[in-house]
Amino acid sequence: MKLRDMTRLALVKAGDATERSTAPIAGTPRAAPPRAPADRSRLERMFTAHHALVWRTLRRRGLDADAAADATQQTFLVAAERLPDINQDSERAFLVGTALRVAFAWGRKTVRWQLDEDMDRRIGAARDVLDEQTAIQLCDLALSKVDPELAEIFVLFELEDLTSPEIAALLEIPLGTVASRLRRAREQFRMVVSRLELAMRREGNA
Amino acid sequence: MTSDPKRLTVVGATDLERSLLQAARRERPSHELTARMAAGLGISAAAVTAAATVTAAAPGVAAAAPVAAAKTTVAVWVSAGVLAAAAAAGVVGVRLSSAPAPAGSNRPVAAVVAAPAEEMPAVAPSVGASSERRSEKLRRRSAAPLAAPSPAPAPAGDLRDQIALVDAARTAVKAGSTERALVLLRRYEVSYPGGAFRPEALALRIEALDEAGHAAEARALAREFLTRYPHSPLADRIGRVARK
Repeated sequence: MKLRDMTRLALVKAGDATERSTAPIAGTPRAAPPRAPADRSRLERMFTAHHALVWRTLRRRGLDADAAADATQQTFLVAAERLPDINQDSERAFLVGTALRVAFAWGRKTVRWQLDEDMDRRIGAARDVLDEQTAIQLCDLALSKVDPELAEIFVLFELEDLTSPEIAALLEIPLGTVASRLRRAREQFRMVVSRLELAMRREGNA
Repeated sequence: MTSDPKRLTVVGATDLERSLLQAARRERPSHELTARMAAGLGISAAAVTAAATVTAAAPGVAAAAPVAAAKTTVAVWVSAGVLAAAAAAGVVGVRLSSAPAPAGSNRPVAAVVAAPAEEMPAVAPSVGASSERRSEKLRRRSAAPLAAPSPAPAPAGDLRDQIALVDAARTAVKAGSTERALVLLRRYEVSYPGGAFRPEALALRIEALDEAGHAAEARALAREFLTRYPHSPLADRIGRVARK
């Protein structure tokens, strides 16, 4: 598989493929009744609790920091529109699911990963892998080489601490599929990281 | 009860795997980005950070935010489509835009800057003793930086000034004082060429020019905006100027 193709964010159901990022926002919003302060408070609370997670999830999908911020904003605007429909217990799942759709809708043009040609350079440059920024970039690099369908579950489970049942509900896949994809995702991720480590050792960087 | 396996960061990961995963887990948006997102949603940055800052927040800051937010309206912060959705949900306020006096806009920014360490971590937090030793060893070597790390966050005063300038410009646009708005925006662009609110400032400039009758210049800038920020929540709104 072409590495660039792997950056395709084909991580939501195919039926969402044609959905533009603005679609759920600019669609047919209800008339604009003045919302109770409680709704504003709820949105603030949701933003406070989850904006970093949403932003980070988008970052792991390959968006740069600015684009992830814009997409985060869009995610919360969708949430603001649908507040009455969001169960208190599933706010995080709703936001993550929406963020994935927004990320998908942004499409591959916006992703920052440039993989094949960058690989050697990045490894060569990663003399200080434990520098925070470098470690994040290498993590993204490794994730970009994992099958996207698997990487999505890996990110949600390993980085964002969602449980398997949460992921299964979010992606509407069986629990067993979550488990098998997670297992394969780990294998792929670990294989890539071990390659990175070997390459870095060769370069005398680790 | 779930039979979830343990996270790799908890058990089974190599040092390198753990370092990469933990770094990714710790990543947070910068203060500027958080302020920008909050402003775009009509959420008080003060409330956001006050709620996250259990120990540091002054009680009055968060409590005052929704009240202030209710007094104002979103102008150009969000696109029309986005605005429709936001309005439908009652997101009608931009707290940062409502404060007429600088003191009013100080609060949220100060709160943003005062965000707790766990919410806004400094660079290179600890990743374990052995990792730190290795990191220290590696740091001594000459290190070519990887591509484009995030820009350093703006100092608190800068961010405060940026918000105040953009807020004042937006107020001027809404009041029809386009000349004043353009002066303020020019000052913003000169003072903060890499500012956190460049998209918003440019959008305001376009609207001010359009309002002032400089349609051709507004259209040209609108096209530039769409090229530069094709996915901005402001793109729909600016797109209408571009198509005029």
